[in-house]
Amino acid sequence: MNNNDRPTRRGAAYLIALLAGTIVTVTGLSALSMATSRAKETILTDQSAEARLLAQSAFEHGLGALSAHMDAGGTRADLTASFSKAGTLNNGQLEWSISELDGSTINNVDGPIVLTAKADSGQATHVIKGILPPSGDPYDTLATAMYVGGELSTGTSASVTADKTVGAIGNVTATGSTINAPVESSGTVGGTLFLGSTISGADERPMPDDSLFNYYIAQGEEISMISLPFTTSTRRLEDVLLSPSSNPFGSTNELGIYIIDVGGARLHIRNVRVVGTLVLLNATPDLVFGAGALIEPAFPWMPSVLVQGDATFVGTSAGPSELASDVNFNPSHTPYNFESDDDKLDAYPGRIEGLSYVSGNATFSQPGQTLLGTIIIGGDARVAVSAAVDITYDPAVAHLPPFGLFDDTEGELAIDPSTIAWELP
Amino acid sequence: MLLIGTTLVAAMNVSAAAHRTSADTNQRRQALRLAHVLMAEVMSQPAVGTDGTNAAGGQRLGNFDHIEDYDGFSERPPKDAQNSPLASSSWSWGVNLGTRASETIDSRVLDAGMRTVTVFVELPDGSRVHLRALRTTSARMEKGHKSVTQEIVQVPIEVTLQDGSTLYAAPSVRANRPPAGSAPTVGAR
Repeated sequence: MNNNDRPTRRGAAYLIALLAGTIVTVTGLSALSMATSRAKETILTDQSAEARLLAQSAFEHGLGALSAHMDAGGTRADLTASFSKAGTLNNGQLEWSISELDGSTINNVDGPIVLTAKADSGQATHVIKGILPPSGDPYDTLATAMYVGGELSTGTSASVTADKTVGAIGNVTATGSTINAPVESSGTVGGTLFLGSTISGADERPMPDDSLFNYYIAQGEEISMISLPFTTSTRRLEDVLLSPSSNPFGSTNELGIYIIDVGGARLHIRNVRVVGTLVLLNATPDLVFGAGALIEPAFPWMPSVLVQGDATFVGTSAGPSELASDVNFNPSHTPYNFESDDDKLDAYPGRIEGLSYVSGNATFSQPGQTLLGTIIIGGDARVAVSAAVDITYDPAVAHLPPFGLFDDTEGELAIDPSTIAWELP
Repeated sequence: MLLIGTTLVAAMNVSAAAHRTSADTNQRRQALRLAHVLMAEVMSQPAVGTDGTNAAGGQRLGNFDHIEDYDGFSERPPKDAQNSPLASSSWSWGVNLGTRASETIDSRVLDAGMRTVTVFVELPDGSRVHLRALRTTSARMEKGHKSVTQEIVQVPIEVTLQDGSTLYAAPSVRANRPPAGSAPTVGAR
């Protein structure tokens, strides 16, 4: 062996070992880096999930506190911006507060309030909001499909079909017509043909006070009668979409309350989709709910139709047609059954949903009027010859009764679950 | 030689640490995932049920109808509401409910009727992951809502992404009530 070769070989061995060590080190560091990266992702995911859970907890706590407030005799009027709470749970912070619908400080003692819950966990934040409308024990009237303050009469070959009680404080009289529903009257029930049970001398159910109009007027947006199209001596609410996000005649209203002072003139409502509350003042039988109308409340605790005066119903089961009206009735801001699009090709059912109230007399003069909910008529109700009314009762009307149709002595609030939503901060 | 040996040992230690970190992270992820799944199930239950029975150990679906049913619940291995295992028998999970004391809100002492919901998941090494939440028991503020055409329900879901991470949620879903005999449709809110 040449002695001069020894350092060279030794140097090569060192180099190889150093190279191997470097490779192992780099591999290890890479694995550590990947693990650290995954750990960071995991932490972020964990923080997001925890923030969501904490926001849910804060929302629950806010609901519990509001409930306790009312259990202790407190009312909506007692609530101030100071009614809030902040704290910690798990590894995060949470808080809740209350406000008006527009986010301003509580000042409307009768209106709905918004409960906002917010939570932070590390870098993640979640927010939940929900609306609590005024509430209370619902009037028994809301346990009916139709309730009439005066008399209910049906003409020859007319029909009334409902899956819940049809009642009247006055007499119920059927003349050669068919009432396919349980019928009650605080007076008498007479005539033919009743296919369901009949009760005479029933206890009167409470009727809304006309002051309820003031509540909705105070919170609504007026649509001037003269802004509506005028043809053949009739104003027409037609070929439009009204909703909290849509009002072709002026400003929108966040509750979807739109007020029209009919002033005793002729107003025909047809080929229209309304997601809100139509408040129609000083109406006569010349106020006509016509064919192709789909009217539903913006919130389950709001009425869909409030008529101060009289009204005539000639609705059809076929609702508005986008093609015929050249209007998109389900744009992104007002979807129908969660669906929206940009076309003008859809057709809808025709009906009035939720609570309808007519303070005066109501006449149903055509076959095809369909309702989903409850209709209350302060005066007399008349189903004309060969006319038909079909009502499917919706218990949601009584679950969250509209203002003016519950016992308000306790000034309660209730959560509207359909409004609970997560918001990006 | 000393330098080479030290380098190799350090490198191997780094590699082993990375491996341990990854394994620990995965187990912790799984434990938290399970905890969130059970928590979402508990939180979606009504405050008030139709009975006071606690059918712990049995099939939860159909037996547990309000949050109080979950107090003291424990299970090995964790199973979903339909009784299908979600992990091996070296894992377990459970729920304990506590009561939150009265507290001062806006200068008033109020009993908000809050239940503290604690979900634990026990890992194979015996350590536990805890998750806590608050739930009101006020029937006044019950969130169940039914109408003729729609019912709002809360559905716990998990979504596994392509990178292996998992997202959890318990969205409120509006289920359209169909005519008898036809399939329901749902729409997430």
